Amino acid sequence: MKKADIFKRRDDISWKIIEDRAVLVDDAEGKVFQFDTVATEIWICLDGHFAVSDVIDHLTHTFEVSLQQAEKDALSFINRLSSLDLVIQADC
Amino acid sequence: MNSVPGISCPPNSPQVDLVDDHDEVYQLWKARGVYQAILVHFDQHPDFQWISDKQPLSCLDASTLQEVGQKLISPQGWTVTPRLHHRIHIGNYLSRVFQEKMVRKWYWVVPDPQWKSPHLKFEIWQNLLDLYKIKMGPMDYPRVEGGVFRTSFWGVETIVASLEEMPVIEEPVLLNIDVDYFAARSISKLPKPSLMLRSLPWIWPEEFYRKLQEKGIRASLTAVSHSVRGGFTPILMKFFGVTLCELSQGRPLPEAYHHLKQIWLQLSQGQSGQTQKALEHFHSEGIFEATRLFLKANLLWEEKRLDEARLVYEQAALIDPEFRTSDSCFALHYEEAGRYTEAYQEYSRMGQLLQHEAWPKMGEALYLSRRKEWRKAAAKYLEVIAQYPDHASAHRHLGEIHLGCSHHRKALEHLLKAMRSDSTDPQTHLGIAECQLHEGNYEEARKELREALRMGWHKPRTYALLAAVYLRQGNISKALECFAEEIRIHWLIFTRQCKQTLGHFFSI
Repeated sequence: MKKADIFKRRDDISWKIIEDRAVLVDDAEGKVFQFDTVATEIWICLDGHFAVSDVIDHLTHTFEVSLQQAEKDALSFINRLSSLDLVIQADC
Repeated sequence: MNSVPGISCPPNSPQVDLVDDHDEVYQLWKARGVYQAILVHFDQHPDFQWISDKQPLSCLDASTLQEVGQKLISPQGWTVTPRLHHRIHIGNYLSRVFQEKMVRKWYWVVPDPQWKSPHLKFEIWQNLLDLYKIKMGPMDYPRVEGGVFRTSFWGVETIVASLEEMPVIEEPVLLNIDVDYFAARSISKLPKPSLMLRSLPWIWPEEFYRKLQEKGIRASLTAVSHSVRGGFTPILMKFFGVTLCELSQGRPLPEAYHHLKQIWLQLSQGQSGQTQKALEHFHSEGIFEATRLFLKANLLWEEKRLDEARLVYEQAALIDPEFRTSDSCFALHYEEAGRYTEAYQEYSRMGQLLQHEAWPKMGEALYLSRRKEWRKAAAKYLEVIAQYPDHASAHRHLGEIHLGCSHHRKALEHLLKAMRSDSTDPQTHLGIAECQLHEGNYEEARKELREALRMGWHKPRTYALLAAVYLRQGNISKALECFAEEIRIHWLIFTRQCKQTLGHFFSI
């Protein structure tokens, strides 16, 4: 994954923020996901407009963490979302 | 009287409804204000399971995370599909009937041959235990008491028994009769379609009603379900539906019923010549005439008068289009005779006539697979899946095509979908096991294979895969045991085939 890549949430995933955390339902797979606050923030950013580097930048400001930490968290989480087919790479 | 779903018979007493699917009864009973009744349900199949109304999307109705958590751990099962299109589940209507307190006690009466066979009786027991394990809804742990199985669903007392064990019930009951109750064996277990003609019902409708009277069972409402579209009742028994309605209303049985019964008895005794004559000597209407023509078509087929047979079959299907089912169409005869191209053509023709049905496309796809035209076969399965996204068999076959092409990830994707729609097919477990073996998930693979064996799938492939798993895990002695078992089963199959082909000339 490159930092310039842009990811987008799958359109058919239903989700809602409940008590600051995203709850997702992948109806096609019959799976329910619940994210923590950092993951929720990343999830919100993945709307097909922000590049991975923008998401990392946003995390460093929002959670006051180091760039390395934000980068590590964002990359591993987006990778995981991608392997679960919850997000797709958006066309640039 | 028509066998149109949901249309009731003439309003004599007691009220009788003739439907195809059990589900339809729920609305009819609800409209009549049924409350706290005793239900006596006659059915061959242990398909108690129901599709839960609880869907994952309901999690998003929660307003707190605690509520989400409660929804996720609730004992009630989940569903991701609103309804499996190609299967009828008794539970679909029963679960609602129970929850709405329409029924306070429920007897599920199984056919005598099923109850008297230890193996089949155990299957029923196993089914009850499985239901308890998957927690589809509130249910008590099943128990054996006084020779019957007892449990409860949503607090509704449930008793599983044969008619013989039924007690005297003082009050009039809701009677629900599935026509497949009369079949000695499930249609899917008939080794050859032509055997349908020779498989007599284990009990005839008039005898059944006599037994009901002897037991003192009286009905306030009667529902008769054909279950033909679901593929459970042999089409040849469809005329029992109308017959049961007549009996329920105290009317004399139609003359055509006696003719058909006589002919069927003659057929079972191998008197085909007499049967042909008898078939020519009576004409009726509706389902009875369609059945007569269907019998005639099948006998003509046996005499190798193929064109005539097809023509007569079409006449039967014109009177009652339900005769065009996967278990009765002529493609099966062609397959049985090894005439696969004609079978394919017949499936294609059926596919054009019945565009909403999946089985003709499945027949075409199986033919293409047999010819190793994988691309075309996969395209057919995808057509089925586009129409019925949860079609377990289409997913399984497509998964196996991918497996054959070493596309393990794609294969696993379809096999898991097949499993989600139908977890009772051991071949799906085998396919998943093979994928897991390839991925190096040996424990997962072994779990799937054990499940297939638990289902009685003692086939060479099961043991070959199990041996491969043990081998990769370094358990050589276990691997050798499984290889030996594989060879032993291969040998059994080989000797059986030799005996069938060479008859008494063969001896080992």
